[in-house]
Amino acid sequence: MLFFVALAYHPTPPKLILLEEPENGVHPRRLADIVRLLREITQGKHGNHAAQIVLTTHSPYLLDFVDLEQDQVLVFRREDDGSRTAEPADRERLKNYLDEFMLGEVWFNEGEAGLVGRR
Amino acid sequence: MIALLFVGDGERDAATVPALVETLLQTPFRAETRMWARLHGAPTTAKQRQRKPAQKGYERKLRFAVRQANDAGAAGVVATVDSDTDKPGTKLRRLRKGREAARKDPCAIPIALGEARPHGEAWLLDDAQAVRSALGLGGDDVVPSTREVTSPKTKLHALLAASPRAGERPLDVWKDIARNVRLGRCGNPKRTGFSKFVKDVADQLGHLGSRR
Repeated sequence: MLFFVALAYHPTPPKLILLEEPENGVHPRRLADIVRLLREITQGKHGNHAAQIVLTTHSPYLLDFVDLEQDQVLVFRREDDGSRTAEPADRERLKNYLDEFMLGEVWFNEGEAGLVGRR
Repeated sequence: MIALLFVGDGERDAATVPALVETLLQTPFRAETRMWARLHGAPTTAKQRQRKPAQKGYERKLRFAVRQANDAGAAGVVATVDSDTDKPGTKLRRLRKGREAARKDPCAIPIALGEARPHGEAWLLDDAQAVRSALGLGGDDVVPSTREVTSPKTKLHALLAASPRAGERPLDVWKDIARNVRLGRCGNPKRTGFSKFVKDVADQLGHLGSRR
């Protein structure tokens, strides 16, 4: 948590921040604060400019706090032929769930295929 | 062909319940199967709470199943649970409450509910002829009444182990039994919850046959 606060108040924050699994070692309830801090960084509310943040996650709890209206989710999958694909989450399809359920719940139960457009 | 979403307690229900329902509806359908969802959140944002009052347990899971069905293009949901150690009827009451709430949704679709007592194998074991036929048992082999056994699951596995189909994957065998189950032959359908399930399937999904 301290790392994210330090990042938010860094005097010369980088313009691009890459984060690998920010959920590690953090209580699930605290993830909302982390995502809020990160979003504020992208909005330029800390430091003297807005930074772009790219993060990876394996946590459905973190995904709960992702807002598809503001954030972009890319779903990486390994195909049967060994290739890898990256597809954006299908906002229209997910509207079916997101008025009542969390994005992390959809991912946990429907898998990656449930987040992207139907093939 | 219509599609139905089946929600249940794992692989056993995915194998057997569609087969049971196909016999009941007498119409072919595409079966989408899911396990009961694992949900970790209640509506947390003010917007979500305003739209839907907080629900939990099976009520919320059933509402999630309706969303899964809509996403899969299914015309209806068949949801089944095992009563297990709960008081018989408790889970079914909760599911029915969830169904009532789900009916108010704009995306509402028909939902048939069933509670197997104590578990899904009871619905299979209760039709001795279906068990006998699927397992290839002889006339001398005894298929006990579900009243006489404490665990239909254990008994069914024991019957399989002693049958000509011993060694086969149990789920494949259970599916064959399910295809042969007929309510009229069941010994204790009220006790196992099967008669209520059959009635619910007819009431809720019976009309879908005409939409072939």
